[in-house]
Amino acid sequence: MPAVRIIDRGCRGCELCVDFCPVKVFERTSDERAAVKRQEDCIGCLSCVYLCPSRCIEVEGVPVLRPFHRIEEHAALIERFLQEKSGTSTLTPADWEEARKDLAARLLALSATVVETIGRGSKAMGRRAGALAATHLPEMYEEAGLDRVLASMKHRFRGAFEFDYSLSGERADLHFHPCGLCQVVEEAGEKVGEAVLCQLFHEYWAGLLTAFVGSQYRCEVPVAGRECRMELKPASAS
Amino acid sequence: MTAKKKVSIEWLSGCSGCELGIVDLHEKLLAVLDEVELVRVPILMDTKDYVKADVGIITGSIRTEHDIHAAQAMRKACDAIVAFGTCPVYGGPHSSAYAHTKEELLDGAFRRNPSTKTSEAPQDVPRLLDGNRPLDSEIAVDVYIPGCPPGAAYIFDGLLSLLRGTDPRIGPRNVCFNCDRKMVKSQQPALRRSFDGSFDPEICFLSQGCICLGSVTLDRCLAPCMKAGVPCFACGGPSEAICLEPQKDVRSEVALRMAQLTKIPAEAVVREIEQQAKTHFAYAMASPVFRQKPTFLLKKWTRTAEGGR
Amino acid sequence: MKRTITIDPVTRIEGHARVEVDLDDGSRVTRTLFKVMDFRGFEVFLKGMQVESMPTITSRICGT
Ligand code: SF4
Ligand code: SF4
Ligand code: SF4
Repeated sequence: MPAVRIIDRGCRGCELCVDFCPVKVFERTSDERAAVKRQEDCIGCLSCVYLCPSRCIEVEGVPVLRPFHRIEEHAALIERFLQEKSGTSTLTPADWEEARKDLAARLLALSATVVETIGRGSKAMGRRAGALAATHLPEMYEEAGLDRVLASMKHRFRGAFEFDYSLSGERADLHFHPCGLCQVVEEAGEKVGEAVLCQLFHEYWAGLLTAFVGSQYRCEVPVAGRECRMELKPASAS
Repeated sequence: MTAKKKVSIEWLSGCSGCELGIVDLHEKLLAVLDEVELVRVPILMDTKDYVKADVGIITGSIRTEHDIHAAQAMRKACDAIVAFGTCPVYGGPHSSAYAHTKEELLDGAFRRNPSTKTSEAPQDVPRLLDGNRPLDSEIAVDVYIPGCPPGAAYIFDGLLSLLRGTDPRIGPRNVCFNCDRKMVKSQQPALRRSFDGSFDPEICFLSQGCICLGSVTLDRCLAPCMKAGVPCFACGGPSEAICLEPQKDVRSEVALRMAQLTKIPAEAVVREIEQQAKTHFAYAMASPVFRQKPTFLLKKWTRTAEGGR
Repeated sequence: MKRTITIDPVTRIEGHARVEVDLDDGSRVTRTLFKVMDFRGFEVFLKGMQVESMPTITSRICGT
């Protein structure tokens, strides 16, 4: 059974836990604090733990979700920082494989939907996705030049899309070995490079670079398979 | 009696407030000195060499070439390294230089500074690096004690646990934990600055419409500022949640709490924190904890703010 | 004999400094240089911050 505990001294009385707990474990007390009233109802969602401004709620004895979303360096930092386990280090290769399969199924379903609803416009959508994503990335505002931007993207994409790159003038050559989508596409029985997912990803890169550099880029992939070579060139230099 | 542990201190780019933080231990310092022998403390002693020590305490961040050499020399000379203070842990207050290039900094201070006669940057001093970095960008760190400076209680606990090989009990609480103010739901319709009118000293700043970063800041200070009537400005660096969860962010977390307590819409709080990013992220901008967040567009925010002025 | 006495780092002060003293043949001081070895750029990065943060952040120029 889960154990939910409020360290009273830290409770500031904001009632976030009272209002947000989906199963109403907490109640307001007469002295304007929160108290645990129905701990047996706790479903272990841990909403309260992070909502609490003081971080004074402890929930124990619940299976914690596997934290695939965490950035490893940060988890490691927190572990050294607080001498507490963050959960990330307990993820096994089998966990990751399960997550990969799950994601692959979603990606394939997504690409099928894109083709179904947008049809031939899907390339333009990939591009638009890249342009949109760029405005949400710090690289967009660093004014660092293509080399620094790509180095930073390489770090951001590590683990999923491992690549090397070389630059000649305005042109960037990316070399994936292999790209994270390769296995997904192969397992679906499609041809690497021609699959919708691949095409979306290529156009996504063209969109990214167009946004980063500020002028139109296009993307060609002359070699696709276990290794892919992606050429990103300014549209003007045809 | 077991031999006293040797402790060596070195400072990088910082303000020496952390050294004074150690002095803030007052009588407790005697308890620490019972167990340690200080072998190198630039602020107190004349030892210039990097002598061998069990524990090396480093304050300040990596900002100049000297800092790199000093950090590496300390790593070689000491068995354990403590990153002491917000500077070595997150970059510290001069993290804000992130919004500028190195040349802009040198121009403003030396080459085109209206209040001095110099016209060139100093020569024959350690080279300024391109950016300001936390200590662990250069060497491995064993113990982190953030805080600007860390509170005496945390220093005491952190140091003694290291010396005795026990687990520190410093914990993951946020600043609000030790703040005496009460969070109450109010009808406050809009944001206020801390100089706008008077504030009730018993009530949380958020309830009164003033941005306070206590709920997104790790407590390493025992919350002195609110007791002195100043909202927390996050000098101790981001909370556990912000460090650990990529989707959690200073803006959204403070906005969520403010929207709960007042009638101020969350978007207004998010917008304000973005527009005043230089103020609200001042102490930890240099840290990868923020840089690697896909939502951290500091350059965009500071530029928009400056362009709009 | 001309020589230069260098004290680096200067200890028991707050911050990083080097002192260079040049002496001439008669051991008289001809030049003394006090060099401040660190630089953080407060002059520039404080611009654009809110005025109410000035008392707290400027006290970190030299913390006491
Ligand atoms: S969220 Fe935390 S501070 Fe707020 S009422 Fe609950 S226990 Fe108290
Ligand atoms: S938000 Fe600030 S004023 Fe409110 S409880 Fe937390 S530290 Fe205190
Ligand atoms: S309350 Fe906030 S600003 Fe004040 S010392 Fe603590 S972390 Fe720093």
